[in-house]
Amino acid sequence: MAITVTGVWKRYRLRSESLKEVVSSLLPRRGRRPPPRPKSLWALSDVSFQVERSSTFALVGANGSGKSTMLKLIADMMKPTRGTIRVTGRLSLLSFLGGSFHGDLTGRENVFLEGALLGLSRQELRAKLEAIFDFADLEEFIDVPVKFYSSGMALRLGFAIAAHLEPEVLLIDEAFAVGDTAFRDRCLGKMLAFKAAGTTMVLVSHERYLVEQLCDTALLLNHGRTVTIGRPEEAFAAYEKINEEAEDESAGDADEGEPARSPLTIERVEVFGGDGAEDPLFRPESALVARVHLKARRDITGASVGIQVAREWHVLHGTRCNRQGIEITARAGEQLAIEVEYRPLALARGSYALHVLVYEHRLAVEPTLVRKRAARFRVTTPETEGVGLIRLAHTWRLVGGGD
Amino acid sequence: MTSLSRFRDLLTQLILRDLKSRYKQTFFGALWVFGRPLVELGVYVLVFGAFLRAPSDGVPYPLFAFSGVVLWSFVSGAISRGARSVQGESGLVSHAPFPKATLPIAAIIGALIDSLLAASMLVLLLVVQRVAPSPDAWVLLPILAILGIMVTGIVLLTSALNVFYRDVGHLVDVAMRVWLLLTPVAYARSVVPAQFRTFYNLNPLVALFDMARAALLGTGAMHPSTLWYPTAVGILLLAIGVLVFRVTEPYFAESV
Repeated sequence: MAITVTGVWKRYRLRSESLKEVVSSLLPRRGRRPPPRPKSLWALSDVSFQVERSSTFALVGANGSGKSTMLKLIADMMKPTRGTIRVTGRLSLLSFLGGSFHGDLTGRENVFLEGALLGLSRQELRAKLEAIFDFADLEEFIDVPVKFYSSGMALRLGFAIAAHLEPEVLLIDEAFAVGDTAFRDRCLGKMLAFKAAGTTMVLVSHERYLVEQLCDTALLLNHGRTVTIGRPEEAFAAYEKINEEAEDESAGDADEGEPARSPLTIERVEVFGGDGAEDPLFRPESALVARVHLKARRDITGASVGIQVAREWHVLHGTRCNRQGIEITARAGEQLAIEVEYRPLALARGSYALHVLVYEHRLAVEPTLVRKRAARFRVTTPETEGVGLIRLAHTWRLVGGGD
Repeated sequence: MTSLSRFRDLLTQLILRDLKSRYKQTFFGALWVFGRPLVELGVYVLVFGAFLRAPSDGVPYPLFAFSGVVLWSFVSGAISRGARSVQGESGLVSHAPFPKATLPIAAIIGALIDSLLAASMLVLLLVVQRVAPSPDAWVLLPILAILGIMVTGIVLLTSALNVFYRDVGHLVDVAMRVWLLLTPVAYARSVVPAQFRTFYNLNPLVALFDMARAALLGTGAMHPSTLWYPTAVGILLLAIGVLVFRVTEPYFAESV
């Protein structure tokens, strides 16, 4: 085992102390007021897991779920309140990339400082300096003070230094998926290279795609407690469920925008074509029909309705009926329905929601009424899934060769 | 790489960073290292030398004052920079696992380098004033060592406590001002009336500054036995500083 975490609890004190409080706590108390209770927060409660040598492990969860705390505990930057953590092998933590850069110093000077912080020796750095700037694509800026770098350039340099470490255990805190597409690809390539080289990695990330591609195991944390340990897909499925529950709780008045000004009200939204009444289940190749029942609040001409397909907080697709020439004209009090058909549905396995939007006019940019998560559905596939957010209809064929 | 060589590499980089960044984008650049003690000296010469006619143990007053200013610049520079060295790097401390003691030690060494550069001016002044250096000048080395031990103890203690209680930084600022006036920097110890001597001598810097002047300028007889007291205070402070720093270091990342 590269990392063994056993029954770890971590408490933060949320009180910012001053000497005044210390002094007053030392003095004999006379006043009637009881002393303020120290406020604290359990950032982690009884978390245990193991990371095998050369495997890749992900910590998943909402902000404030304790992921970064766990990473800092593994890095021995903090002590657990209870429990033990054992790490074997040379460790590096990547977090806050480029954040320690000193603006007045040049890129070269900063590389030596950041490298020393990450545990690279001066000889190693001197030997790798060119490769680092080459990786970051910043050769021309090597002797330019870092304050003249854009934030993306600074992050790139930060990751480039990190990419030239040779740790046995690598801890990564979010910030690495930086820069433009080409650089992100290079980062991902570097991570895969680390993995191939047998580096044990623990990463904190919200990026499902990345985690599923890189990690063998994922731990889902919620408010500092373990929810699931298992395959990344399982952890993310559990994560989606937690998010849905949280959304349902806060979905009391789901309508956003200016409902009072809206020409149409959304009566209800139905989803046809799947199995089951609540959260119907679809196959990627089947068709989904979403029907929106509306009621006109006043006489209207040329209004429009939009529908968006969303997964977590990402909108995967959005469309408006006026794009296909349909405009809504109705008299006050009139009820009507409009539907959209997705054929084939072509989504990857997961849970989805539909957002419904009402536009006063086909030319309106801002919707007057938005109902988020007006309906939900799920998608499943019999085959083991590939990667990605959508599932394009496809068929494999062996052409020639083979037997 | 061993943890010791990692410590040394990181320390070197931190010191270099401070040196390089401090005078960047300044018109006079590194000349500021000399400018500050010179301005202080000018004021002392005017106020204590010309106005108050402070006794200077038989050497020219500028020489007398400057030797004190240079020595004091190390004590005050190291402590005032050192006390905030950890908290001032909150970004690093809360995001990178590295030996935190490098921060206060880098501050001390930075102050030492500044003071040594200022000391080169002192040598120049000796030459100009045609004062032959005393054959006992080597005694400055053990004095500097004792001073270093004492300052390191204070810096470790205050830099650790300042992470948790920001009051410490302010306290240090005030204390340094008081300490300066209670130390024979700008005046000779002989001005202190007899009834205050015992109290005055509680300041461990009194014996060190006296001895340093005697060694460099031959201002009086040297009494090696007077060094026991500052040595003991220094070792005690260092022990407390190291202990407090080591105990509190694991909590820096979450408190800074």
